[in-house]
Amino acid sequence: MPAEISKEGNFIKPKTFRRTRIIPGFSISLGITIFFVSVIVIIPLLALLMRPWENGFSGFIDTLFDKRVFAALKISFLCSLLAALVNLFVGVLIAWVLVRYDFPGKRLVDAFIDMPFALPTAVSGIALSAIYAPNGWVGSFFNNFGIKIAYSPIGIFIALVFIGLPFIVRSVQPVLSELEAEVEEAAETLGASPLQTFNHVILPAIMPALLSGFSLAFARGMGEYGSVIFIAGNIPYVSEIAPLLIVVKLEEYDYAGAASVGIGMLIISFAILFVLNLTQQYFAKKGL
Amino acid sequence: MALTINNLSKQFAGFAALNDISFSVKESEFIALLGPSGSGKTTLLRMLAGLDYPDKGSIDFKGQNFLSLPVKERKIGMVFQSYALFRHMTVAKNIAFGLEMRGKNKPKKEEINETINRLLKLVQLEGFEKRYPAQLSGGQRQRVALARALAINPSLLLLDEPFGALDAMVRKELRRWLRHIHDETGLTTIFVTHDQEEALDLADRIVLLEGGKIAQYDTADKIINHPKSEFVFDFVGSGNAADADIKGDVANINGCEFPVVNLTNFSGRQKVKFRNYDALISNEEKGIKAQLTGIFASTGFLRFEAVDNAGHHLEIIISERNFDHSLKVGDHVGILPQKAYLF
Amino acid sequence: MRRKAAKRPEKLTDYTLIIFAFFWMALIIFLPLMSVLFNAFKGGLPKYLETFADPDAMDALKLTLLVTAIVLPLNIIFGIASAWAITRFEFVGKTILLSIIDLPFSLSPVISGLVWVLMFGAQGWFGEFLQAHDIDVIYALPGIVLATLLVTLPFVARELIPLMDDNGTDEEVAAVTLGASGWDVFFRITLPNIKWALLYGVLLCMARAMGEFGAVSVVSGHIRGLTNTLPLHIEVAYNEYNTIGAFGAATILVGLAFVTLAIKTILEWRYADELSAQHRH
Repeated sequence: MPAEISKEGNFIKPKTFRRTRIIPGFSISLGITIFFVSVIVIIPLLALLMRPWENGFSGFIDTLFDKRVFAALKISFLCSLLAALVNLFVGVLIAWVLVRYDFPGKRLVDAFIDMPFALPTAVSGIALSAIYAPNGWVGSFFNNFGIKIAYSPIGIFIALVFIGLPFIVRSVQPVLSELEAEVEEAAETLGASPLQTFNHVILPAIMPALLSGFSLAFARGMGEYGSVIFIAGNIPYVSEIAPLLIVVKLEEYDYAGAASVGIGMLIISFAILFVLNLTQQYFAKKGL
Repeated sequence: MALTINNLSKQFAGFAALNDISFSVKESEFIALLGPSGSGKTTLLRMLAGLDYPDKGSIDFKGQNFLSLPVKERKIGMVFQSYALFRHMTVAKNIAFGLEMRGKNKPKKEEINETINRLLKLVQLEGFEKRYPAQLSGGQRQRVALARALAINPSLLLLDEPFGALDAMVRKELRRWLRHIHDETGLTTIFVTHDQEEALDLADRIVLLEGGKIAQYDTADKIINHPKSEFVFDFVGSGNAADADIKGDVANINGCEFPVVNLTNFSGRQKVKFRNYDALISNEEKGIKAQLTGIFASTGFLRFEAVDNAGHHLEIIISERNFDHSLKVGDHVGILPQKAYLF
Repeated sequence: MRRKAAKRPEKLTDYTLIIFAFFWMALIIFLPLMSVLFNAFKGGLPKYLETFADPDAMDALKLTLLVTAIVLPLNIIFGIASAWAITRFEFVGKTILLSIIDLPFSLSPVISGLVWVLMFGAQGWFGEFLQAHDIDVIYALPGIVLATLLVTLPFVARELIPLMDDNGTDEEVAAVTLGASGWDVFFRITLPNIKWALLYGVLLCMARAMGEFGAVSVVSGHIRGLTNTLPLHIEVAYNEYNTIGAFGAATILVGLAFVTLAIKTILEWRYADELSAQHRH
């Protein structure tokens, strides 16, 4: 059993013996790690956390509830939520198709799922806006019916659907392919229809993975910038996202304001991840 | 004495993993560290290897203070429970690794090859040098791990549950073979096991551990026939308990008299223990009155299950040759212990 | 344990599901990729090739490669050091350290840029000091490097930590008992076991470093020929209605994405056992 020889052996000996760990390199590796983490992550984030308070707590609150900022946070929140919900269904469906069926081009589809991860966001941004603009391939079609996709919240939603898809598929896919065949067969022998089997046997099993994918997609959507700003049109109160407001505030040299918006976004993201954690704990208690 | 261990103690988060362990090992001896899980046997082995350190005590190996030496200077051959073969190296590279690590004192290429070939022959894996660990069976991996440990010409060979991950057939075969290798190389060898049969069968002497203490350190024969405590008696084999009238070295149950190894010098009515093979079954109204609840045939012997008047279960084993064929399930019999222990 | 094997579609529902998956992928993923190519070649091949003659585009490409060349080695060092510390030793605060390493993943890219402005911008913590000593961080290479580092920090570590945890320390401990030194243990035992996972992490890290937009956009100042990386150059060209220039430059990054996905897929196929479990298909 590997665990028996693993970490417990690496300990600091009492001083009466030579102080050594079995595996070398503790100080240097931890030193490098802590150096990087401090300089690249912790200290900069402290700079963020300490900035908004120069106009007092009320200054922070005023910034967040400033009409334009609040509208932007609301748009970001709603569009991300909606996009994550759509991806919840589509993501499970695509994961299901990839795990359960053999068909030509499956490998290719599987590889392309990761395209939104691999494609730089600026490229996704201009590509999506070119298609969904009123004169674009898809946009012109909807334009006939008076529906504007690009330069409206729908555009933001489309971009976030694009960005969020891999999160759900890649969370669900491995769990789905690891499911025990016998459990499903047992449900079938007990008279369950395929849909009943899915709802009562498969769905509960993939639920924790689904939730984690959902919240990752949701949180990513809240912070997404590059793929959104080209298609969004960035009309204040209508299609302006929260991250863009940080850029706007920085251009006005309003550092405290920018930091306040940043912290507002962080609070929402962490609230999402926190709620996820609670639900996952709930499922963990049920042994899923 | 090749190896002397004195007053070794170690606390793990409040409980004593090892508690004042002292024993010594002769040159070329084959020693088993036996005990249930949590008895401290693996911790003890790891301390000998230098992978773990005691809170106090000393380990002296041929005049060297082992505790002042780091792992790599102890020149021990260690066989890990998981074998810990280097998965990306061939069998030959695995075996050569310890020699390659010698820096300036690294042997010449021909010498290394010679060592590889000699060891492959010893572990009966000639022709396997180009294989990777993933291409070997469990028993073969075990043998490569042993060859790798032997390659550095160790002065002490340590094995952690060497047969733990193998199935029963391979286990038995490798057991004899390991003993043979030990006898051939004359290496002082210490191995950890939780399997009493393995320890009794293989080792010159056995360190039987209980809760971090040595329960008994003896030869197999002594441990089987002269257990020093009830724990030792129970750990190395199954037995039965009965109440008997004790007078010195003689016990009496209902007119059946038999010798008792009296470790307490108590007398009067006492609980004694006897092995399942140290008893006879008779039709007489003597000994432990019991009713037979099962008779099971096996190769060479028969196993009887019985219940005494107080409802205690008893198990007796009798050689087929001495079997009284008139016995049937449901019979009322007298069980006559031949030898018992009073702890 | 037996798993349900993938089957050929038989019923109408099977076909409907598969066709829907294809349709969605086409709409959401293939179509945008097509539009990049379509727009880049809208004016024919010669116009497209002019993109590569544009000095601004080439300066942007060079800067992108330079930033990547600085960030990658640092990330490799950090990834290996942190994975070694976390998987080979017990110490207080490990769980917190793990969460901090993961933290950049949940930060908005814009925030990853903003923090550096708050540190080194004109009104930042060290702004006055830097101005007094005439050191440029924001709107200069160091800022771009720092922002990219923050965004990409977890990539290598996240590949190595689960794998090294799975592998355990048995082989390394065995090597030590056979007399191996620290470097020998690392280069002869550990590195060969993690090399494909390391490559995998480096690949993802590289793709992200070359493509990062939000974080870099905040710290760069968009100075042509100086602080424009390739993604920023795309933005500038696009906003100036230089469609062919924008999409032409984008084809470089699309190409990079394809190469990344191809190598990634090959690694997942060929070396599945030597990657961390979540990438084994």
